[in-house]
Amino acid sequence: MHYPVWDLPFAHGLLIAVIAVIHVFIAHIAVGGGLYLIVTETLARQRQDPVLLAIVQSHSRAFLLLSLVFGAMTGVGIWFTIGLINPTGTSALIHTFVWAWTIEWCFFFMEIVAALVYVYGWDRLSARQHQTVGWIYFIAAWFSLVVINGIISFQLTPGPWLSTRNVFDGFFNPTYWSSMFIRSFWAIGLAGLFGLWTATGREAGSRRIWLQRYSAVWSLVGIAAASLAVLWWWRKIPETARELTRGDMPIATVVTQWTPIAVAVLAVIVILGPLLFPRRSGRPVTLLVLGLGLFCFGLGEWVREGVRKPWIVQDYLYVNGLRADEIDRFREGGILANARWTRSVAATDSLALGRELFRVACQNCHARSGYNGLASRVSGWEPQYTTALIKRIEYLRRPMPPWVGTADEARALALYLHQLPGVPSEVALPADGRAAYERRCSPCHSLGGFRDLGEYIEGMESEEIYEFMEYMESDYMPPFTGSDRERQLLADWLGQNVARTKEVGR
Amino acid sequence: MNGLVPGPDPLGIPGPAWLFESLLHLTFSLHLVLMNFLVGGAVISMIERARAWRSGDEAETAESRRLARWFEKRLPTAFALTVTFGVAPLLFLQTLYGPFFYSSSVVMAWPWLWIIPLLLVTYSLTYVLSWKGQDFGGWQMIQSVKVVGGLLLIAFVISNNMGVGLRPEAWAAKYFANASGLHLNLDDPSFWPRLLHFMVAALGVTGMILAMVGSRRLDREQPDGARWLQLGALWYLLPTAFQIVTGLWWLISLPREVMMPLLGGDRPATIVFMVAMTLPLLSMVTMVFALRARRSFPLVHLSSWLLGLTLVGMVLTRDAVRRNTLAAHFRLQDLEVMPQWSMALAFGGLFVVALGVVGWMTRIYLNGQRD
Repeated sequence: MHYPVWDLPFAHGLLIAVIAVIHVFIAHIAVGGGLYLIVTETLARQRQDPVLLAIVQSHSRAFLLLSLVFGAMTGVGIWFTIGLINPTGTSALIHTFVWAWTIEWCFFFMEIVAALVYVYGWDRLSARQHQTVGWIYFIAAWFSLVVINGIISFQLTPGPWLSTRNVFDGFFNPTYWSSMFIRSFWAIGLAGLFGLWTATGREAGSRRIWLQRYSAVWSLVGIAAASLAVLWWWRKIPETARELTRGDMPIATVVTQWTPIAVAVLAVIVILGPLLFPRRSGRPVTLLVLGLGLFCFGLGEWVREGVRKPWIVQDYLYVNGLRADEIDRFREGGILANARWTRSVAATDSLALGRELFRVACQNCHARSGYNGLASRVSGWEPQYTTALIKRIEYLRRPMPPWVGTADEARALALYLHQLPGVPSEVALPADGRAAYERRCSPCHSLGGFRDLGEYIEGMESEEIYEFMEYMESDYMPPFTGSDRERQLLADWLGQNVARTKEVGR
Repeated sequence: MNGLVPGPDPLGIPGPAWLFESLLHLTFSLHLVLMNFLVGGAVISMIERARAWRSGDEAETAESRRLARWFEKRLPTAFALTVTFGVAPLLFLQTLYGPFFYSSSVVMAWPWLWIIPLLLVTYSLTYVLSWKGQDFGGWQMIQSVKVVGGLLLIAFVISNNMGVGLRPEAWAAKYFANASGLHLNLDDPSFWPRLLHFMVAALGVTGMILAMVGSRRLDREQPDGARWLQLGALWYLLPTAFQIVTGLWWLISLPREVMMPLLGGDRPATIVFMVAMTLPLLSMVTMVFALRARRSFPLVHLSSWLLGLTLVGMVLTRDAVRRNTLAAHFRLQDLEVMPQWSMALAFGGLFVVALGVVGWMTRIYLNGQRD
């Protein structure tokens, strides 16, 4: 609302997802891998095992490329990307935590130099010096995680910061510690997975089997401990966030259900592969577990991001760059009068108004079509129905920020959405009552689950439901805007299937 | 249409503006030195590689190879440190000038985002060249050219964004013509001289570093000392002399209300600017004397200090240009200050620790070197 919105042909979230997941995956390997390297080096030196030491040395080179080239550069990438996608959010995080970022930068500086000296110093430093540099690398990298974790967890649970504006309240927020344990243990788990990569690059026999089992143990310990920390985190996040995964946000619901299953599958493959049958677990299995690791990580990060919606910073800043304390001002004058980066458009040109509104109010998250696209959402509705939904959107769709535009603006936005390519201009009669339910009710209700429709119409006959649709409009409920025939179809189907089923069920 | 420049972040800044400005200038100066070595080193090593590739003279070829390899082995580290010291000023820039930086970034979002793959590829290539550049064939030559090309493209994009950020009056025409983030700053008369000024400086500063290494080698009677000193001095003197042209071009390309404060309108800015224009002349004269001196190192050293001060002076001048350009929209004093002194102190303490730790690691690494 304050900054220009980048007009992309796809949803902004996709860009963030790609860059963020890759970066966060590598960044965690960079932390856990630091511990893996120094512990394994120490082990090799204690055992006076030159073969293992040589393996650690070759591992460290690949590690340097991964950590410095891909980790550090995609880290810059994620910063650039969030600045483009959500400047207001990025600005809020920077202005609250500039000093935390500078502290993180100090650790990053030490981490970068330590990584270089560690990798280039194998033949130049004494064993003791080399190990000290290894520890410096790991400690600096881990503290870098410790700092960034404070900022990321702040977004979901800013806690007392909301009233005190005290940086420590925001940093050591309610999910700080649980998040830190999740990330630290995941880092160890991922380091083990990456260790498998080095191990399986060798001939069987030359410490490969030992190294595979060793790395598998790292992975399993990390995964198990991180999973426990996730349970702790789950108890600490706001109830509203948990509700999103119980139907309020269908995709978050599905992803949350699948994440533990994916993690369990990963653990089972590591046990049955490199741990118990290392000889049969070569590079393909390693690639599989690395891929699964990335997948699980992506799911986990997706849930964390997803359950924060509609906020960038819970109770302070919405995903569309609107601050909570600005709602009244926007509602008073409308979006176009208050948002900065809008073009002058004639008040009579509804379509042009709608285009401006879509960009400033929706495009932070939504595309016109495709993933998170709005064309498919409004297909099958009338513009009046879409207008009604827009005005009530914060009640109807919990991950959505409130609509702060005027009634005219809601209408203009709806008109624009309805002329998007792929949206039929005429609304055809649904094939049957079930199809009418899918079109009119299912966007916000379910049958037997979240916002169970049966509860609302329990015991009602079709005729009563038909009548009810006449006066059901409220602050939370849109009016029925379809044809009389569709209304009849829907009422009949609900009366015969939904209302009755509920009664019988009791 | 409303005024496009977003208001300052209501969360304020967690320390006085002068503190963030000082940190911005300090880290940006360090970034420039590193960036100059990276870009200059990449260009000089590419030229030396080309000479070694083409030359029939065996002795000359060996000399060029040694010099090219000297730079190439250091490019990955220079790259990592350039980026590290690039993110710090970018952080302080966002703290102080966020509304300008974010807006311009979105206006040219695609080129701006393209920096990331460019960084990834170019950084990887510096490792390729460092680890696999012992041979002097066509393949290695191509990698060397790619590194230079990648670095110049990155500089091109960054210079565009910094330029668009200083032109709020140009935002509306660009953004409302096309909001898909495909704009550049090529319509700005100061774009090319500005970019050229930065890139030519990279050659000069790298020349100075090479001259210093050469004179030190000469002092220690190590091989290549005299050649590196002469070559370094040449790489320093010629580009730096040329900088008078690029600098003047940049100056006259600025809007009058931005240029005039540097020429008397704003006394402190004028003094800094004049000093920053005089110092390189002194530095160049000192370098010429160094080449004739029996022992060159002290004079090269002095010349490098004068150049270092020039760089700081130019960073301050650039800041004055920014402040004067944005004066109509924004003043730093308007930012609300909500200090977090304990955090600032923690940073200060940790920064000292980091310098100590990095210093120690560098020392043990260099001491372990058997040259």
